[in-house]
Amino acid sequence: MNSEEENLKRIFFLECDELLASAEQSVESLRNDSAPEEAINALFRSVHSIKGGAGAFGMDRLAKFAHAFESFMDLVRKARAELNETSLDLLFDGVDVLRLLVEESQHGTPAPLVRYEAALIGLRRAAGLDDEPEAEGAAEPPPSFEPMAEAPAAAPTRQYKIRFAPGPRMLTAGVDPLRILRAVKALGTAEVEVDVSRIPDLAGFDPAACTLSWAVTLDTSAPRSELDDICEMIDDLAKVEIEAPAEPEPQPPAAGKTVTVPSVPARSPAPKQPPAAAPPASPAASTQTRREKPMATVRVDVPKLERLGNMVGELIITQAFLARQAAGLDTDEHRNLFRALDEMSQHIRDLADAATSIRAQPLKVVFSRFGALVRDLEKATSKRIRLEVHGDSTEIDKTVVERLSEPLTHMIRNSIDHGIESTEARLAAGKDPVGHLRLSAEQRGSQVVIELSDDGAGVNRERVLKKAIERGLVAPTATLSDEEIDGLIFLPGFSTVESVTSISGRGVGMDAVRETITEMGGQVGLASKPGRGTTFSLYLPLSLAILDAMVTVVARQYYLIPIGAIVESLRPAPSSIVQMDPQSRMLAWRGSMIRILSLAKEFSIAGAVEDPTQCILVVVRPAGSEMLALQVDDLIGQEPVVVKSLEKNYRKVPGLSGATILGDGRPALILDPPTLGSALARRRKHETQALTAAS
Amino acid sequence: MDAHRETSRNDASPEMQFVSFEIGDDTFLIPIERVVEFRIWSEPTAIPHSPEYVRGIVNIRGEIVPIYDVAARLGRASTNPSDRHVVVIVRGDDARSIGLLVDSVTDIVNVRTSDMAPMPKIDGGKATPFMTGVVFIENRILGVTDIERLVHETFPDSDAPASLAPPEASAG
Repeated sequence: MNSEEENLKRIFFLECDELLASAEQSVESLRNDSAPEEAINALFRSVHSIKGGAGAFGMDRLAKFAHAFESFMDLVRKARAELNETSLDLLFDGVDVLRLLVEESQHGTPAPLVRYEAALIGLRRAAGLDDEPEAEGAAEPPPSFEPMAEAPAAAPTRQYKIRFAPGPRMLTAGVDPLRILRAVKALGTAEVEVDVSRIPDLAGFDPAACTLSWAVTLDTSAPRSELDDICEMIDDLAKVEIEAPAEPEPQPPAAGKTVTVPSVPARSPAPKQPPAAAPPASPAASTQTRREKPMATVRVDVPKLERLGNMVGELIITQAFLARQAAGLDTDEHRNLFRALDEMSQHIRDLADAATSIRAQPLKVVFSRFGALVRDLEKATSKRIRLEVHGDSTEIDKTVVERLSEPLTHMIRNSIDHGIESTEARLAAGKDPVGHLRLSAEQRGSQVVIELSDDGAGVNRERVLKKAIERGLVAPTATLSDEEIDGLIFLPGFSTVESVTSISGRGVGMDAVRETITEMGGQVGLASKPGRGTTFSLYLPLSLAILDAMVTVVARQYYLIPIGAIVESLRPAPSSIVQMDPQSRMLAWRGSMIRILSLAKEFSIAGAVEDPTQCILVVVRPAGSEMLALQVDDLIGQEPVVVKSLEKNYRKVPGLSGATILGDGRPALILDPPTLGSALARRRKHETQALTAAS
Repeated sequence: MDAHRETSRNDASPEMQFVSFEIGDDTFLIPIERVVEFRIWSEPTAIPHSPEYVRGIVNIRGEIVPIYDVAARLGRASTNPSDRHVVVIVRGDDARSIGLLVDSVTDIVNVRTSDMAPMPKIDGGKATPFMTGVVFIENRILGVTDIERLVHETFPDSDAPASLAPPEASAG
């Protein structure tokens, strides 16, 4: 029972995380949106769900605060309170404090009392709750400096008839029906009748199932909402019907409280109760029947998901092995075998997709935090910025979502700090004084592309180049294209800020962003127009575990190239190869010159084909750096492969993003075009320096 | 080996089990709980930009595991492995696994803790890296392999892989 309750709490806190993220997002869209109804409803639902759980677990401060929050929102929803800067601030602050209180309940880290009180008083005052009697069981006495407490007009006493039938799960969920009855009783004078007719005979008796139900006649002057609040806590676990009197109420009877109630029949309708659609007992009475929540979801621990992912991975490897074994057989003789292999391969692909989608989470989870970040940065920089978010429902692997927060935060800081100009400078340039930041996400094939655009000044290439030369990252004589200069900001240790600001941090620059993205198998791109702005693009794989790769051979060893990076594979004509010096060759390709990188040379592999015209060149475009032609002996074909970490037992290897296991059970290495490219660029820089020194 | 008989004198100190392996003429020990499995040597997949003692990577039940040539790691001549050589897969404290290429695995020995001693600090311990201690068996002194160090001290500075790039990439 105890551990059962612990478990329920754990689930509740997990839910709180999601609910808070969604609440932050709702508040954010309230600020931007011209039609705030949807957002306020969403916010209401989030806060409401937190309140329900908090009440059930006896987290009084949290429940009390959520209640005040909800009451205020209720007024906003009914347009009784204006949605202005002040009330928005209240909502912003409210979500913040809500998060602190959830943390307090979860980890015992006390929420700062000042913030809690201030926010609570603000909300209560705005919601006009000051005259409401203290909620039953509230931990806090009313603040002694409670302002402008109007003498409560003696509310008329009304009579409610409540039928309360616990569902079969109520006791196992750790909820004591007695507590509910006491809470109801605390609202006024109650007469309680118990219905014992559902108690089975001894043979069928289940001590874990509550077979009692109660009929309560309550005389109370408390507002109807208090009664509803109690009932909401047991929304899922019991069937509650309330017959209200016909008198008009100060507030419409709990309008909107059942907003989320779907038209799904209750899973546990208690017997001996009128059906859900039963006509009300009196024409004026309103009968509400509470039902189960709509979406059937299951919470799964991440290790279990990982196990599923691993097994799918093993299956792909086994399938590759089978395919290799079958490759030597006669296709006519073994037609059925080959058909089955084909089918299995398709099923495994579908299975892999399904496993990937289970792990997927909407980017909303991270994107929703950036509204607050931008507001803070606005204040810190005295720049005016408007953040637009698009495509935040795009889904990507949970691990990627979690790891994206830091690089994206850094990119936004970077854009606001370096990209968007001061208000004066913008006005002088004839621009909108408000800087625009656009964060968008979309799925393109097996990749998710996240873009962050600003309409700022663009990369200051002159300054970037100067810094890079000063830091010895580029030879003073080097001539670089605009794109190459832009790419310099991703080099480790590069930072264009003369003085370290508190905004873009110190030392950690865009190189850290690139590193994180590369670690996840992604790529970073950058496009900048002077005076017009800069766009950063992150290209991320949908799934971390499975990659579409081209299998290539160098000296009888397999090397895999991610399909996403490949532009073209070709056998070069002798005339298209340009020998620059004994060490380097270039490929003339579609009017441009591309460096050829021989894998054999790069990886010191003996026994590879030397002459590029006897080889295959795979032209790759690593995002954020120049194109490369990778020289391999031959191509085998395209295969979905399971990415295995080299770092788990070994370490990161430059030029590789990981390894996989091929059909023969042996590991094969997966190439990482961006780091291969930067290795080549580094070497070129040294060559340039050597040449400069020699001349 | 009859080490257990050797240690069965009136000594109540607890016993530990070790796997013994040979490199050249020397015998070394590995605590048995570190050993995951033994494999006959087969050529692993070569891995670029790696020190000489890293022979490559193999697939151990779906995990990529590097194979270290213990002789080369101890600063001796590299092993010229054949199918009589053995790879001992060992696991460190944090579940990091590596394979150790050794000449042969010889025995499982029981050692009383009273017959064990920490590594004598000769030359500040520099002369005997990768050994945690010694064991006295049958008038012999055997070194106990420091698996943690082998597993973790992959490189002098594992945070700076760039320093291990081939000379042409780091020269200049």
